[in-house]
Amino acid sequence: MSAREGWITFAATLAAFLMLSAIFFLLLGKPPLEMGLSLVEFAFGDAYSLSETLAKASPILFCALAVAVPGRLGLISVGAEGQLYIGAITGTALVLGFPELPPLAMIPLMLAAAALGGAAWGLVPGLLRARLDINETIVTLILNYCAVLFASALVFGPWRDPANQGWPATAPFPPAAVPPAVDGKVHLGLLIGVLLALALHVFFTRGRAAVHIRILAGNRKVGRTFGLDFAFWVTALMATGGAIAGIGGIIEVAAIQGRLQPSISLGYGLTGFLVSWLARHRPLVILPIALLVGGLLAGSDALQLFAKVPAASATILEGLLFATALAVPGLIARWRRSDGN
Amino acid sequence: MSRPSLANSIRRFACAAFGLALTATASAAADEQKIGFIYVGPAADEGYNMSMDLGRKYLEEHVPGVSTSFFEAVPETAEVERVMERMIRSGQKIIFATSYGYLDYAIALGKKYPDVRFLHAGGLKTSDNVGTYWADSDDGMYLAGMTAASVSKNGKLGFVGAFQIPQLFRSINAFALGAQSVNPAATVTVVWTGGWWEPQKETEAVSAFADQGIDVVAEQVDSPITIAQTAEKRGIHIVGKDVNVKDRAPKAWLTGVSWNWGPMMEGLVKEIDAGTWKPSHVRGDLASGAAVLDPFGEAVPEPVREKVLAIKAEIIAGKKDIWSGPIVRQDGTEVVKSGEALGMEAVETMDFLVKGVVGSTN
Repeated sequence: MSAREGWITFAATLAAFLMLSAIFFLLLGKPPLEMGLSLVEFAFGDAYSLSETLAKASPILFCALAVAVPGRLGLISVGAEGQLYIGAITGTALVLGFPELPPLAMIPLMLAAAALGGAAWGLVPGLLRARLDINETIVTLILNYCAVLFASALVFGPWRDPANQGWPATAPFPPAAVPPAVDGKVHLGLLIGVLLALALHVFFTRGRAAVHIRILAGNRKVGRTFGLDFAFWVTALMATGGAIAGIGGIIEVAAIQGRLQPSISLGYGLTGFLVSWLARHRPLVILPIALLVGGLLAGSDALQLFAKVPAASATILEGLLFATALAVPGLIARWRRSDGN
Repeated sequence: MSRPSLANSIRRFACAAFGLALTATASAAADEQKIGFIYVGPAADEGYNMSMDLGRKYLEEHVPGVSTSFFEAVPETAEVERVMERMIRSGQKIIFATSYGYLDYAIALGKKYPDVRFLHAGGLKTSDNVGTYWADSDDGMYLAGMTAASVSKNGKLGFVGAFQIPQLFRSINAFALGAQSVNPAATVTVVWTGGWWEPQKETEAVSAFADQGIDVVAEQVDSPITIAQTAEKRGIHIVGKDVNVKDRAPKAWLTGVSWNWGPMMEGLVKEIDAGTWKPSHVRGDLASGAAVLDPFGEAVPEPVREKVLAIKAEIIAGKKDIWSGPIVRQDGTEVVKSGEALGMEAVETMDFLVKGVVGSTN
């Protein structure tokens, strides 16, 4: 597709999204232009709004990358949510186990523990797919529920801080475990996420591994005739994806929540999944889309605050964005085909 | 679509949108008092959040110059801190943080914004600019317990609770003590749902109660609506809480304890405006009218109504303290002797269940 066609597709998608959003606002009886402008203002209008947007974009970025990594091999992992929770759990385990560590040791070890936990959670569906050809989508889906419930069991049970008077949460993290941040919420995790995206871009576009993965994604049988090991790459990429989501999980806990408790993720796993698919698993495209979706989530505060529309409106807008972004390019391609015939 | 094209497009769109936003000016009337409300569930939940939202609407109607806004479905995580900060930056000077788990975040944010006043529902801590408000529904729950045990055929009562926190232990114990005042053998079986809004678990719990032969179910979750409708279907009775849903379950309904926050919120806002407000634990009850014993349902016979209302009158007149001894824990140890009563602090930090309650505190 030429750059010009890309532009047309993008403009059409944007126009369709804006039109559907306008209809949605009109149905609610609200002025669409005013609503749209206040949403954008609340997402990117000043330094504070921008830092809120970045804070929302961080877990979405990690989850999207976690989906993109196995996605490059043609695998459909929906497991970022569960891997995020497991990373949060294993990272928290380290913090609770060694609360006296100095910051220089604490943060790297905490991230490593989270990465290992997330990797293990990704390894399970990876091995099942590699050895027994069990569908990774189903396994990652089920493991999501297990991880969320496991986190709840821990904070309702052994990890509950007695000082909470029954409230299900661990003790607050010591200052050494809180990642450094500028302006409160623009934290180290964002930098790690961006660096990961850049590294993944290089890994998937340069060198021999990139070629191998592309061949296997295109046709596994052809790959085998070249002596490429599908089972190895399934296992490795699923585990890597898990590790990335796990890091995202502990960063959300340490930088934003300050302690482990239920509902640390506001559906970031699923949002990340959609972002990754929208970006067609390209790390460099994931970066701006994660930022845009983070902005939509943070900016939708304006809808509740000024327009007094129900909280679910933000979710509906997000749904409209994903639906149009997936449908419009397909419709245009189809229209072009039938036009050419 | 080529990669640079899409990335560029998005970047350009973001810039364009950014420019537009800067030209859109936000202006607010200078003199209006802006008050923000934060709810843990939907404002239209027919339950706890709706009771708070009715208070918000009362403020809009009764206090001149007030404009309110609200956020709903805000989890009890750092998300609430973000939402509160957003409200403050939009000019809200008073924040009603209406859910239990919001307290620590309000105290933390209060240090950053000393000019803002935070009013937290039911908390046990205050700080320089964080006070709490609550209405004790214990008296009402005691009366509801009396009603439940009087109507029940076998004295087997059920209770659906969200979390094992002091507020819930108080309600369950008050309900059980009221029931035992009528029928000393009455038992209250508790099921914990682990969430304020778990319609599926609530339905399952009520069905399980009905299967066990329990014929009256009380509750303290966000909304009585699921429990009321399930009980109506299963042909058992319910005691509601937070909002009167008698119309939704006319046969199942016995009574309930609902809130009337409006006047209390009005008093707090006026104190803040006058500069006389001090952070404290403001508490209402049945006598002050902030907690209300709901009208009885058809299933409650006249003699029972009279008996319950007589005790209600005694409580309001200060002649009866429902937390007077003897009160005995589940394991048989005594909390208060006969002739003594639990103080407010002991009630607010309650961590036990009384004898006759089947269920665990942890």
